[in-house]
Amino acid sequence: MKFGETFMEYLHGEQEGFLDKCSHVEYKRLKKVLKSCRVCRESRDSCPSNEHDDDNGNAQLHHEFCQCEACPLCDQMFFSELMKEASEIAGFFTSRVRHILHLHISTGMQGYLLRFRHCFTNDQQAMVQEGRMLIEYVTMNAIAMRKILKKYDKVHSSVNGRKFKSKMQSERIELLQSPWLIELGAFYMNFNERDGGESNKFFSYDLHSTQPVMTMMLPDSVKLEYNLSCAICLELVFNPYALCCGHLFCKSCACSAASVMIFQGLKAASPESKCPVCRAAGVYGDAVHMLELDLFLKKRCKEYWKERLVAERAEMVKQSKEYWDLQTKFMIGY
Amino acid sequence: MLTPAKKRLMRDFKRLHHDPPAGISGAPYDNNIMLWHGVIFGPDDTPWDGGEQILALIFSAMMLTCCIRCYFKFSGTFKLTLQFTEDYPNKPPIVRFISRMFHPNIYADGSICLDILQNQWSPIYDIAAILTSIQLLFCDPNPNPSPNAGFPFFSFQSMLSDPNANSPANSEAALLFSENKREYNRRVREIVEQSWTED
Repeated sequence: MKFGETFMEYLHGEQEGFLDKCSHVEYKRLKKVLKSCRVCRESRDSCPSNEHDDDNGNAQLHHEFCQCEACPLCDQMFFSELMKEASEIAGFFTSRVRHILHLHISTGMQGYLLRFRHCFTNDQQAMVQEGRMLIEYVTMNAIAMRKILKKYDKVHSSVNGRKFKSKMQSERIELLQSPWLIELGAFYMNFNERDGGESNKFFSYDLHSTQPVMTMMLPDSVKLEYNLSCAICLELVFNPYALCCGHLFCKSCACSAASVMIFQGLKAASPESKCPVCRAAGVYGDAVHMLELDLFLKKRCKEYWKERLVAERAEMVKQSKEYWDLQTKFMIGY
Repeated sequence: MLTPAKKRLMRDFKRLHHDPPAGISGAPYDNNIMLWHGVIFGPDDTPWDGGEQILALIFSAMMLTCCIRCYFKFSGTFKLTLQFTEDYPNKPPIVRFISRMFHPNIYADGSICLDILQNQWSPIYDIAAILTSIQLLFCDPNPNPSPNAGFPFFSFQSMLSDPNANSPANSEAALLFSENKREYNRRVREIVEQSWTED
């Protein structure tokens, strides 16, 4: 079955009610835009490819004559619309995942009330159901976006589609690179283990190889791997934070890279501080605390987690002692 | 108790031995993981690889004397030390060549003028990355590197593989490299031959 049909089937499937509330890639319409791209059709007609019988000759001539690097007719609506859709999808996905995870990890009085409510209503199952829908929602839209950009590049013999993909990454709306997707995966696996939920068809993991990974299965048996090792200490992430650029680090490692104390947190990092991996600036302020992933790792690597907890606490005490000693000396004036 | 720096260095050691890059090796000195010694072999097809050396072997067997000319490939072997601090990996190590060197980006005392060991350091670089980067300094020099084209993804490699003769650490090497390539290559080969006899 062609992806277009699969996507339409998905849009009008059992989740139609859920999908009415949120935006999605206008796959069919964007494909029509590409089909009716007159500029390309005219340039294709002007190709003297009919004069040659040789297949290779044809292909070469076509390649030489039909390289319209950009197409104003398409570009005007194509990329602006895709960008708008991508940011809307990313925004909706993030807010919904945040909501689900907040309900799942809430502590204190709020957590107590929620657990009390669970005695009367089965909204745990509803949470998992919504999680599953969100995973399908984000993967289907991400695939649709990739397919349409690939199609654009093919039609125009250009690399604008690829450039647009890079732009999406730099603007942090690349759907499959979202840290919230990793969080959702961790939530899914935590829930399955704790509450004996449905078998997990989306996510699997391997934490004991040299490169600990979480694997996400996409449609058509495509695998997407998320590396769960910290690029600074080279170990499995502990108390993980995802910077705005999407790179994952232990809290203590990220703090040391940003030259702030652990107890101050990443919010205290200066806007000039850069990500150690991609060197993007200003990525620490809105870093995402991956609580669900931390819970997931805590359950599966108990000894390692305890060991790291002790080490981080010791480091934190040492740092705060040094910090307050300095403050005291400064106040006293010696 | 193991500090984060020592833990990380042990990880680096494990990685370096599990998956060693071609032409480099490194290990800590006895009882001190904060001090490492490394060896970098001159890259092939550069003046640093030493070329083919002819060795005449004379065999005398059963009253027949025959002379066999053997061609051996000897790479230059350059020794260096890496001194780490407790701030590693947030601060780079101090890297110095022990072997005598003749290169536009290497000072007389063996210190190296290399961006990733100064202002472009990142905590994700490990020992293998450091040694590989230094090895790339030997390759295909370019006296006028374009300033930061495509940073951070492309400049890194090109800056390392090209000695920057505009701000040289060794002005004589830089001058020869820019104006008399033949003499530069001869001096490099001299250094390579010295590296075989050094302790």
